[in-house]
Amino acid sequence: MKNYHSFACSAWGGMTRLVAIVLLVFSSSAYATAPRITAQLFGEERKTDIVAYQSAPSEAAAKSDSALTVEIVTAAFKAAGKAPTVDVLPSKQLATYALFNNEAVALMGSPQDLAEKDKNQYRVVTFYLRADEPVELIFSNARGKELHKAFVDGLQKILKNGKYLEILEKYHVKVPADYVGRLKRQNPGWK
Amino acid sequence: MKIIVLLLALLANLAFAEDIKTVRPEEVGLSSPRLENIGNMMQTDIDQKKMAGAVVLVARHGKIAYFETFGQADVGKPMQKDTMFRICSMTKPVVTVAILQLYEEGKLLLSDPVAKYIPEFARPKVLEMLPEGSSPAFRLVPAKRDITIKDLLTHTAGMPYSFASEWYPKDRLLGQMHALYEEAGISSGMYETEGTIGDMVKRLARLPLASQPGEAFIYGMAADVQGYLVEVVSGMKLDDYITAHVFKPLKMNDSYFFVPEGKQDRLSAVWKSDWHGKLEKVLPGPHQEGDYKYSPTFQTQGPKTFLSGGVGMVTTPYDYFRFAQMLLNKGELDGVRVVSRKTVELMTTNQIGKLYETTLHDEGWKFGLGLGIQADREHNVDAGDVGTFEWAGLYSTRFSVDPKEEKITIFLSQTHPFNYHFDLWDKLLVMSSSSVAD
Repeated sequence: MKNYHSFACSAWGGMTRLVAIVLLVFSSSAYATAPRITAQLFGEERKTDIVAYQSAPSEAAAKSDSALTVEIVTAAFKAAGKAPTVDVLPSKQLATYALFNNEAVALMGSPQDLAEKDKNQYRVVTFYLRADEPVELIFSNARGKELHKAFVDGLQKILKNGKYLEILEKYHVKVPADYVGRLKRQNPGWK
Repeated sequence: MKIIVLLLALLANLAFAEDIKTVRPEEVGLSSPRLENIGNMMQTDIDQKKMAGAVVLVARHGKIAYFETFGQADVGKPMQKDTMFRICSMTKPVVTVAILQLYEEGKLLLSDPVAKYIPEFARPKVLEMLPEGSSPAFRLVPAKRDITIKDLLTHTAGMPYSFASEWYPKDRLLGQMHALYEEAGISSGMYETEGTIGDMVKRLARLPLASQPGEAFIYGMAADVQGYLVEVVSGMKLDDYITAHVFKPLKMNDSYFFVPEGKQDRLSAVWKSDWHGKLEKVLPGPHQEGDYKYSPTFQTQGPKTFLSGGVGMVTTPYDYFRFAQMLLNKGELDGVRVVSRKTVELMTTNQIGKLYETTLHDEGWKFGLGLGIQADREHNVDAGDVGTFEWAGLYSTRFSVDPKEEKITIFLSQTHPFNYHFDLWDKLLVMSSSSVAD
């Protein structure tokens, strides 16, 4: 009986192998060969939540400015218990494309990035003033509601607890005395 | 004092000329009278101010049979055999050899995705133009596959030059790519550029491709990615790697990315011709003409940190002859092997399937790895034989290797714009071919 079982298993296994070989040999599928390139090679793709742009090539001042604004955004979200992914692209066109095509829920940019007719589709938070020029986080109305709320809460927290000022000082920014008031004037909805 | 300097320069040139052995053309089956046609054509172009000067070298069976200078290298400086030239895109075959050396050592595969070494290239997107008037003007679609190292070596990775929009002004796709490259600060390497090739390639990697990988021959920035790849894989700066692994073994003693101060007086000026009798020396620093930016001084002044794998090298006719002879000898010169026979065969056979190499040539020409390859004689092909491989540079430089006749032709000038020299180059190659007399 044992031998019969063993024979049956072996016969069944042999048949299975034969079918597999036949299928492999006669397969016309493009996937007959194991893929050489898999997602694991590059790490799993992470969806971008926020896009920013740094068009100017490699100027130290521009790089530092970009790092400063990304750090403020990251700190604000952290204070609200969120850690969205921020992707800095080398092109404003590509960054705005990502927002307008719903590949990202928010864009770090300036008021000029939105056409007047499109402004009602986005929520805008000014979080930094670069020589009086507002730097904004522009959230998609449709998909950015949750992140928008978290950012506003977190930004107000880091303004209060001194983290915001600490970041400005780290980047040697000359801090105006009424920097909080100036930001509030840019964001009329704030308490 | 001036006389002493001139005498010293003359002596140095004589010493250089003695080092280089030349033979009578007839000793290698070439016809002297027929080769004289070259001199007549060169002098006519110089007289008509279509260029200031040039050097032409023709070699056969490993021996230099024709090595002549014409016109001037700089104001008041006659062209010399050891004048140095910015060879621009003739840099690309040299950097290709560097990649293939690393391939032979098992440090990379041609089928490897570029992202394996430069992660910024992971998951590329392809730019597709939408109908005119659309907003946005384009859409991005995921690439069907990753770009591979072979795509770089065959210019099928979808990375045009920014200035291609100047060549093809009606091509909206190239116009859009130009706009993105400008925004991202992508340098062709043809002018003084801040930062390193790595900085630039990482920005380039975040931009979309102009075609699906492998589906179109689009000449351009891929060789700069190759250059950075050499740095990543070898752990050496591109110039250090090339010097140690190509220049030194081949005794290319006058080849550099940035010209040492002591040799800068041997570097030819760049000349601009309007092709109608007006010829002037291009002044130092960057010049912008439409979408095209160029400079005669990027290898001598400025930051000198940007090692362009696409256009960065300076060399002499004799040095480049040694490189070309190494390829003709299937990888070795004077007993020193630089790459294997099999690898040179790979470089010099068609690698782009049904596509055509449409930058320097058109139908009838294919592309190997870093080189254009003559595939048939049925199209508008004037000279050479099937199997001839060649490439050229933006300041009007060109080399051609005909393996069937074991013949090398090198033309070096420094003329902007280069476009009208297509005619000169092709006629030169016809003259070189028709000088074969055995």
